[in-house]
Amino acid sequence: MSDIETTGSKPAPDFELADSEGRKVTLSSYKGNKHVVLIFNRGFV
Amino acid sequence: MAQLRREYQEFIKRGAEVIAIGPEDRKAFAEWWREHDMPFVGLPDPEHSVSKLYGQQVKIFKLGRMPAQLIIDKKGLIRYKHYGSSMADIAENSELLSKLDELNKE
Repeated sequence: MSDIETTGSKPAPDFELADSEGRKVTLSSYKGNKHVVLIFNRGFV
Repeated sequence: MAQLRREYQEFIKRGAEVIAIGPEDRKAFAEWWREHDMPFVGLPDPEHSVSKLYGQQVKIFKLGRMPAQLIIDKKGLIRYKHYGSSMADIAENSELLSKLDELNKE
């Protein structure tokens, strides 16, 4: 059973991480510009 | 991930960016990312800082470190979340795309 919820208006916690090429990515930099589909993977390798 | 890669343009058309976060160390992640020619943003998070943050604040990962998908709208609000109960339990792209269509109608 999966748990699917549609949440009303909870703000996404902001974060900053370096991407696979070392460039900094900040979630809040997409605000006002793009939706973000955030995928958490358990592991690729 | 392969399916996401194939349908990435569908996400772009809907004004969305795709960001994938994985627990590998930077080097292993970067190698995997290049090898599979992933077109979207990939973020290695070996300290699990973001998954911990979302685990605490958004209450995903209740059942351990399972895959999860979220949609954050342009206002920075979480509008959709799906967390899997197994490795294979991942939201379909079609479901993510139809949610984006809904957001774009607002």
